Order: sequence, then structure tokens, then C-alpha cells
Amino acid sequence: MKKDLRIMKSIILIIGFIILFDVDTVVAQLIRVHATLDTNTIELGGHVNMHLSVEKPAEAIVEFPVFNDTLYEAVEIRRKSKLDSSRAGRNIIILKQQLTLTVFDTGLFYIPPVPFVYKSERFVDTIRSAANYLEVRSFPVDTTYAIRDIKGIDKVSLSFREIYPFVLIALGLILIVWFAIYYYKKRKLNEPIIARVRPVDPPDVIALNELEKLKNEKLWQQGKTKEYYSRLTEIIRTYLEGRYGIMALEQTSFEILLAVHDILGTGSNYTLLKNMLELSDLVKFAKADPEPGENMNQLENAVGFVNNTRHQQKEEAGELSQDQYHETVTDVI
Amino acid sequence: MGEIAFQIRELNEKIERESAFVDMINNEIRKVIVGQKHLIDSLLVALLSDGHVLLEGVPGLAKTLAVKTLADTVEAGFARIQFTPDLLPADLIGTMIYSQKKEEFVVRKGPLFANLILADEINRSPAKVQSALLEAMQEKQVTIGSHSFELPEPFMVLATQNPIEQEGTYPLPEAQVDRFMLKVVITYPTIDEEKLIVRENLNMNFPKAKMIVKPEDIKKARNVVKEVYMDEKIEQYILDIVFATRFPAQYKLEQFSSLISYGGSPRASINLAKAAKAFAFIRRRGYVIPEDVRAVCHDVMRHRIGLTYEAEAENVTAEDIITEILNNIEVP
Repeated sequence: MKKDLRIMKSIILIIGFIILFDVDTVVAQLIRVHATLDTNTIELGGHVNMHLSVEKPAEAIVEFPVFNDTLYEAVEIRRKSKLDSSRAGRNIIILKQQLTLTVFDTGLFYIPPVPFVYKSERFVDTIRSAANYLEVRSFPVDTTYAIRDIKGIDKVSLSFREIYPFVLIALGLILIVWFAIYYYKKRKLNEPIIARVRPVDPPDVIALNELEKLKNEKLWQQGKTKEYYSRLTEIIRTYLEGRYGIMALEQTSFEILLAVHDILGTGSNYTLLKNMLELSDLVKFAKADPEPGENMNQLENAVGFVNNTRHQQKEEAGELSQDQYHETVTDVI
Repeated sequence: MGEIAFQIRELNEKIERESAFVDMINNEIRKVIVGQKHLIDSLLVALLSDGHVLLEGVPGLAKTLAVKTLADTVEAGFARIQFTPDLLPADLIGTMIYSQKKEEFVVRKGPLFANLILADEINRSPAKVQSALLEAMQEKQVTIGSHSFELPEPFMVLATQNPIEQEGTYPLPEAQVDRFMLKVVITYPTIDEEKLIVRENLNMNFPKAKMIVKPEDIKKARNVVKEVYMDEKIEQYILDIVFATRFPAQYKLEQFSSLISYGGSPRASINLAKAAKAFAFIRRRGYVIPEDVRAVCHDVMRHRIGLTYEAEAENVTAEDIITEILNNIEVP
């Protein structure tokens, strides 16, 4: 009977213990909080770091206090770091935060314990760190020196961001002045303000127009045979430059023929050109005076050469029949 | 084909007759010299236009042989003078020596009194010797003691210089280089030409050129060369080329303004015209065409363009400048 009573007491005692120290309470006991300062002594306006840390089981929820600008009375918070977590064991997590503090008064300042809130499903508890104190000293004043003004404000050089509106304004003004001068000049010369760009005619069109003009000028009929052949070769050389990219205006007849030979071979077009250039050289440099029929033939040859060698694409677009070709030649002649 | 003006046709016929010896000289020289066509043409151009030639090339390119061969084809006096640092002007032009027989000072003429002078390695002698030669080239006469002596006609100096050995040499001053009508740069022969040279030397086969021209023929040919027609357009072309070396910016060659310290002198224009006429004559033409001007342009102009330090730093040569000018000046 006595034995049963003792067993009953033990069971009651165990149940009492379980009720008294439940799991949450045990977990709370495992949480450690710290609030430490780098130093306890600073100069007036100086900075000191306060390190807050919580060491807790992974499943425990601990809330850090929310700080405003002031930690306590004259102790101000300058900066707050982000909350950092690290694992310290299999089931232990450490949370850290750093506060940078400053004080603009001298004396010994008390920093009260920092409260951390532990929350579980059944109860909320506050765990506090140890209290700290901070001594703030004033600067030593050397009275042997004369009294002087407070140090002036440092000058900071201008950044591009500050001056760029002015740069934009200056550029705008330059543009306006330039446009005004340009406008004035154009008006004075009676020219359009914005010139229209005429599409450039293909080399064969230019050459045929020029040959037509040359025919109408009737130079050889007026005894200006040399001028006539100079113009004729100039038109053909300009055409070769535009058509084949040969620098014909800066080349001699021999060099031109050499370059054309590489492109056209020794066909009829090459022969046409060769005869034309050779006769032109004789007229230009050796006082040759060809007969009228020869002068006409050379113009005809020039037109034929341009038509035969003009760009393929053009021919495809409006290919001339044999009759049309002769008509064109005859028109120009 | 139309009718060529009477005078030109007549001149062409005259040239056909008078220039026959050009082919003969060419053939004789080619018997001895393999390749070097440009050198031979240049020698003929200078011979026909009464000019002097400065030959530049590395040793062994037949400079001396070419000149000697040319001299062999002409029935005229030939003298070879090897320029050395101890050469004196009197060694060139001659001096007064005392004749015991006549009991007076008599003139002893130097090697300069020949028709064709080969001044070998002209830059090895000091300035006073070079000046004596260049003065004789210009004046066509020399003064020994108190007497002046005319040099024989034709009188042609062919000077050689080596471009690679500059130590111990006396470079010709610009003003004196200008007196040479042509500066011919001799290049290496082609591989086929050199093969032939090697074969001929191994076989000890050294042909000799025959004497085929008399000084009178050259004088006559020179007179015909003077008659070669040069059109106003060609004159303008020559002037454009020379002026482009002086004022490149006016000819849209601004890039050369800082590279040229001085351009061609009026002597450049004169010599370019004379050389172009001679070249036309060699090509059997009674008139000059732009090809003739371009053919002789490098030889006439290369020693007449002064380059700046900037050009030297950028490795731009007178050759490059002339080529670029020819490629940019409009041909008539």
C-alpha cells in the first residue's frame, strides 16, 4: 500500500514537472542574446559600433527590436546594418546586426538592455541583453594658441551633372546663331534654305547627254577640232570612271586602254575606244586635222561605245532592240 | 583616219631617218647588258637631250658596264674617273705644268676633256672636286690658269653613287644634284635576266659593242629632238606636275604639304620637257604625248623634291610623292 502511494507520488511529481517546464520554456532557455560595444569611450561626435547578436535553435522565432534614430536619450543611431544570419552548429543559428552610434554631448551615458521578443504558439517572452554604458569625452583645448574661426566649408568641384544644363543652353545658342547666319546668307544669295538633293544620273545617261550637247555645239564645224576631241575624250573618260571605276581622267590613253582591256578584252568595244583615243591624241597633241566624216564617226563611235557598255541592269530594265539602238545613235548624231 | 598636219608628218619622217641609230645603239648595248631596259632608255634620253645622268644603285648592277658600253657605241672620247677622298680638282680639269723644253708653263688637260665621262662613285670625293665637275657640267667649259677651254661636243657626264654605304662619303648638295637632268635608280634584274647573266659569265661569253655612232650623228639627232612638237596642253601638264610639288594643296594634295620641304625648280620643268621630247624621239614620234612625260617624270623629279623630317619619319619617299602626283593630276 505504501509502495503504491510512493509510485503515485512520483507520477504526480513528473506530471507536475511537465506542466511546469513545458517544451517552449525549455527552448526559451536555449536562446542567448548579446549587445556589446566596440569601446566604451569615444570623443564628442565620434562613432561607436554596437553589435547585437542572437543565438537560437533553428525552429525558434526571435524578433529583433525596431530602432528609430535614437537608441536611448542622447545616444543617436547613425547607421543600421542589415540582419545577417549564420549557422553555428547543427541546429543553432546566429543572427547579427550592427548599429553605429554617436553622441553629441559629453558625460557617461547609460544604454539599457536591448529587448528581443521570443514568440511561440503558446506564449510570448522578452529576452534582454546586458546593459552598457558609454563615456563621451570632450576635445582637449590647447589654450596656448590664439582663438581662430571655425574651419570654412570645403569647396567641392562642379560635376558634369551640375553644368550640363548650361552646356545644353550654350550649344542651343550656337546652333541658333549658326542657323541665323546660314539663313541670312542663303536669303542673300536667293538660294533655298534646304537644298533639294537631285538624284545622280547614271554615268551612261550623263555621257549621252554630254555627247548630245557636244553635237549641238558644232565645235569642229567652227574649226575648233582640238577642243572638240578634248571634250569628246573627256566625256568618255568621265564615263569610264563612273562606269568601271577606272581613274581615267588621271590616266593616259595607253593606261586607260590597258585597264579597259582587263575588263572588256579585245572585242569590238575595245577597238572602238582604241581608235577614238588614238585619233584624239593625234588631234590634241600632233595638230592632226581629221576630215569632217571622221569627226562625225568618232561621235557616233562614242555613243555606240556608251550604249554597248552601259550597266547591265539598265539594259535589262529597258533593253533596246537593234532598231531602237540605231535610232538612239542617229538621234544623238 | 584623218590627215595629220603636214609639219608633224614631215617631222615624223625626219625622225624615222635620224633615229635609226637609236635602235642600233639599243641592239649593241643589249648584246652586252642583260635587262636594264629602263637604264638604257634613260641613257639615250640624256644623250639626246644634252643632259647628265646620276645613276644610283647597289654595287653589281652593271652601272659602270652600261656607261662603258654606251661609250663603246659612240665614236667619241671616253674617260672614267674614280672619285676618291684624295682626288683634287686639278686631277679632273687639268693643270699648268712647266715645260723645260719650251721653258714656260703649258696646259695639261685633265680627263674631263672627253665626250663621255664616267664619274664613278661621285660621292666619295669632297665638295671642292664635286663642285669642279658640276661647274664644268653647267658651263661646258673649264678654266686652267688664265685660259678657258671649251669642253668637246657632245659632253655628257654619267655619275654613279651607291645608296647603301654612306660612311666616309660626301653627299651631293641639293643645288648640285639639280644639275643632273636625270637621276636613275637601278634595280635588280629579274630572275630570268639573272639566269642569263650567270650563264654568260660561266661560259666566259662577254660580247663587245661595236662603234656605230659618230658625235655628228648625235648632234644632228639632238637638233631633231629640239624640233619635236610639244603642244600647249602638254606644257600645261608638265607645269601642273612641277607646281604640284611646290604647292600640293592647290592640287588637292594637302597631305603632302607637310611632307615636302621644297618642290621642283624651273630647271625641273625645263628638263621634264626636254626629256619628254627625247623620249618621244626614241619612240619615233614627232610629237609629245602624256605617256612620254610620265615615262621620264620619276627620273627627272626624284632628286628635285626635298622631303621634311616628317616624311622621313613616315617613310614617305620622293618616289611615292611623284607617283601620287601623277595619279592625281588630270591628264590632258
